[in-house]
Amino acid sequence: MTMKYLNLLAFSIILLSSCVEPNFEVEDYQSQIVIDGWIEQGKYPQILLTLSAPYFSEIDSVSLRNYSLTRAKVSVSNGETTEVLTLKPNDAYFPPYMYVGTSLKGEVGKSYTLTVEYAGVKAIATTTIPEPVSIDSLWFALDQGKDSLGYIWIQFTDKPSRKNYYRTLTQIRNTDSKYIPNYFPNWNDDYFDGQKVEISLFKGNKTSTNKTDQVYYQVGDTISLKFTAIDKASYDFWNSFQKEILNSGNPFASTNARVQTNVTNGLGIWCGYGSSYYQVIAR
Amino acid sequence: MKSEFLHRIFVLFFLVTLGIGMLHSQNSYLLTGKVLDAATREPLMNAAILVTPLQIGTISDASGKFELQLPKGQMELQVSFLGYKAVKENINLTKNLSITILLQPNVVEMEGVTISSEKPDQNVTSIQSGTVQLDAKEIAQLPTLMGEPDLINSFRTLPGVQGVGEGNPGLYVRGGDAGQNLMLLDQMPLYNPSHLLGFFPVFSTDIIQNAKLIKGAIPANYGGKTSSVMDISMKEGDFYRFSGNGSVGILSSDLTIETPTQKGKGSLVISGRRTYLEGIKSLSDLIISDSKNFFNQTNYYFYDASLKWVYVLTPKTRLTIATFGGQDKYSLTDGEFEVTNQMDWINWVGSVGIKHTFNENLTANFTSGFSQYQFGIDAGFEAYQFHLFSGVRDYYHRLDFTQKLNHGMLLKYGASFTRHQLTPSKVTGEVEEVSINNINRYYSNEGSIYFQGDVKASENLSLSAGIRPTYYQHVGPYSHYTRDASGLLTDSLTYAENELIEDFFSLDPNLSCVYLLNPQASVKASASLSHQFIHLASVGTVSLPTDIWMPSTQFIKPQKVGLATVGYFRNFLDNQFETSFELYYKYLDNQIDFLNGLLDNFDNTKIEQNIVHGVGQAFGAEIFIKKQYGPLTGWMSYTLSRTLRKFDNINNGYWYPAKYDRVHDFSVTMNYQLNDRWNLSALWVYATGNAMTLPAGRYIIQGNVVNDYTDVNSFRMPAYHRLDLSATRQLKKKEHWESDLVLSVYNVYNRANPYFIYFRVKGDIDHYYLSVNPRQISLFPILPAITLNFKFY
Repeated sequence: MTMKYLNLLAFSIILLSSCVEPNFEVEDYQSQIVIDGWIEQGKYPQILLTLSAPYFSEIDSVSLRNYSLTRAKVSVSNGETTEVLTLKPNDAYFPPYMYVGTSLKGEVGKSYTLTVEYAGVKAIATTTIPEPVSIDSLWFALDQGKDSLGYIWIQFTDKPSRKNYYRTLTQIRNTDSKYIPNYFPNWNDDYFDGQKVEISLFKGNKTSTNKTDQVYYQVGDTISLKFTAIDKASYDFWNSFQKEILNSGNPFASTNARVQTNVTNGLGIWCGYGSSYYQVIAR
Repeated sequence: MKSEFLHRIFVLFFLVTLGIGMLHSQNSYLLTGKVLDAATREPLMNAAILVTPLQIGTISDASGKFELQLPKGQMELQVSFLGYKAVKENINLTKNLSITILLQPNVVEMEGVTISSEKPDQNVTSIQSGTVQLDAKEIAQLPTLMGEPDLINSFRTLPGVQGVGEGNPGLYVRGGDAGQNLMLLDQMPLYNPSHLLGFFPVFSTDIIQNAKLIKGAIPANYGGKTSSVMDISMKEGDFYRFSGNGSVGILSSDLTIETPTQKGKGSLVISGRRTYLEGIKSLSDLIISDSKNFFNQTNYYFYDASLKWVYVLTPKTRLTIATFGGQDKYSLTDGEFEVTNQMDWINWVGSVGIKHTFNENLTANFTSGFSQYQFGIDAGFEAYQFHLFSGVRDYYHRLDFTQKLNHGMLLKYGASFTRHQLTPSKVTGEVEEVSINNINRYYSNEGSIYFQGDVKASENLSLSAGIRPTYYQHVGPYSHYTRDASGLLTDSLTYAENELIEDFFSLDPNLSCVYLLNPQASVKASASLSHQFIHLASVGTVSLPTDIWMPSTQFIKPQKVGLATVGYFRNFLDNQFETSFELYYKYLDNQIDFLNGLLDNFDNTKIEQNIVHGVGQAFGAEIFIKKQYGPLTGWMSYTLSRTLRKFDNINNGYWYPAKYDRVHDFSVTMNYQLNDRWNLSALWVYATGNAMTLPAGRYIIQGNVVNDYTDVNSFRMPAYHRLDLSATRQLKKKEHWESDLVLSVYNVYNRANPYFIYFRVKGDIDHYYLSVNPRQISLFPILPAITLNFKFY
């Protein structure tokens, strides 16, 4: 009799297990200096500086501005001369302040070191400006079945026996305030080393949070193309950056790969561009 | 001329063998028999058969059968089995004889007895630690999920065996991943069998005779997987009587029919099962509000069927044909987040086998079969659309011998050959009007021979040792690009059909021993090294059964796993309680992972060029307590363990927890026979939450938001725990008809166990607004069900 009672008791203990509400615990996050900077041949260096924010923090216009870094000491050196850059407003970018150079200009083949000092931290990055590659021809072609939408096509010859990395950006006159990277803007010569290449370029989105459905250029657009050569570290950054933008929020994607950086003690990119400029009108 | 000569040799050989056979049989005859439960006609395994006064004995096998070579004359047969009344039969052996022994259950002695297929002291005396065996009766008493006993889910309640939670039926055995388990149904390998994301049992238990799980050193007769073996035997029909059973529930129904095909010579078991979601939907509507109701947006059905035919060609030879197959179709739409998802899975296995008994000491089995698994996904997420097909097809032949030698030594040896055809992925997709088309297909051959011997070294020490050499080849058709050190393309190679591309040779040794301290306690230890040539690679962070099978190639090396275990085993109260404490350590080499995920194939690289290699370590302590007899039976298990991985390209080369690293894993299951009409059962599981990588911070580059991730898998999802209850009521027995009603509730306190967590970024940099919302999706809320089980004969 007692045995049976005990058995029932054991059974009911299981029944009385408690319910628990799930909640997340997030550790304290240490903000880092984020560099979004570039230098081209014949042009002054341009750098946008921000701080990284904790993931769950909600951001509005007030707090977003708090993340722009405007009190850092920014300097660029080519190995011989160093120039401290000055902060200038620029509405075309986020944040709307840019550190620019006024005396040191980029030169093909040279290395440039960027140093950002802020709150006792020194973030350093080095990049090179590779030799620009010229395009043999470029044209606009309508996409199949479309009567006013199409892509830009370019044809160029890759330099053999050398690893080449490319990045393309376009600016549509009267529409874009600055050059916007194409959709899939980064190329490496894995599949076309030393060969003549023909590729089509898709129009890029301005920002990831404001995706438009259009990858097409329209008939009537006047498009400026910036065809650039970049070094390996820059390519690794832009390639991983692009993957992150595409996969972020997608539950099928893996998060094993991180956005790379060529910045020590910071995040982001300091990129040297060997650029060639072209223009095409979509007809 | 040559063929005529050979033909003559063959006929001569045949005649000689026949002659010897005839000579031999003049003085002794073969007694074969079958021991069955008198009421259900179910075979009784490990029944003891003793022939007096000769004092020759044996035990019945998994189908209740036994064989004895006995001298001509009068003798008495004593057949006994725990929980049944012993039977004595007089026989006069003048020729080969076949008998059937029916045993009546011993109702008076014990109430609600659980008939175990193991010897009562198996826990202490068996050589292989880490082996658990369940027979049909035990399986039927397992906690029922939605009214159906679930074999694979029940394995999860054992120490060292963990599940991921819902959504993925994979088992993680002692730190091994879901792809390291060899699941065999009548020796046919099953690759990814599951129904409704692990919610429904893989097979109806009505077709299962018994099931064995090996999580320690794997004996050499099994090969190909490095963490565990689930050896499941399909039920053989009764050779004399027709019967059937089935169940009808609000979610699914199944029916199994057993019939002799030629009385005394053959039997056929046919089974089929189908589910209908309408039941889930209408039930869930009553309980869950629309916005939280996962089932409102889902559509699902599955069916499976099996067939097993056994035919006795001669008293010493039997033929078996078996097949099992099923399909799942599932679709989900989440309008709010623009997610659409359609998936389907197909499993199909089949085999033909011949078993020949040379004498009471030697049997041989030759089997040929195939195994096919494939799944397809059609998914859409905002502007991404992608279609993924993945499949495996195996053809195999195997020859196995079991031989008993002097002094109780048992020897198993044989050979097997498998031809693998894998299509890990066929991805086609559109991402904003850019299309991708990427097909990867591989062919390989895997051949092994093996030797395994069990020997009693002394009164207290028994050993089992074995070796399994394997030769594996990756063959064409296949093509790939080769690159030099700086990454420049230098060559592209194409291989013709069956042309050798890469080969590997492996040797798998294993050693287990048990030392009896006394009849109630023992110490067991084991060590083994095993290799695996077909790997399961995880796609994405979401726990969907979408992982793909990859072969070993010149880029993907065979996995190598070393395992060592030591444990103390003790029974109490005359074997009423079984307890064990075991420690294990596992080192895993050549583990694979995707660096960038499957969607990275935009540039048409081969999958294997996206794979990275690393190592793993797993170690843990397992505690197990089981009550075997009495109205209240059940078991409790607790595992404390870590599973870690280290890859050069991931987490900066530091050790990080595996996705399925569950530090604490606890479960308790109870079955209570209240009276002769009511039976209650309960299951409570608790496990540490899955590890995942969480973005710690955010930053902005070129107006785009980028995630700054913490260390890999450093975030823990909330813990998983759940209570299931069920009650079974026996209904009135009629002539030729029995039935019972099962009331079951899954997730009794309705805990929203997280299935996956992802983050939605909303906002617009230009307008200076950004917000991040974590979204936790849970799969199964509280789910009650009613099922009617019936049996006719």
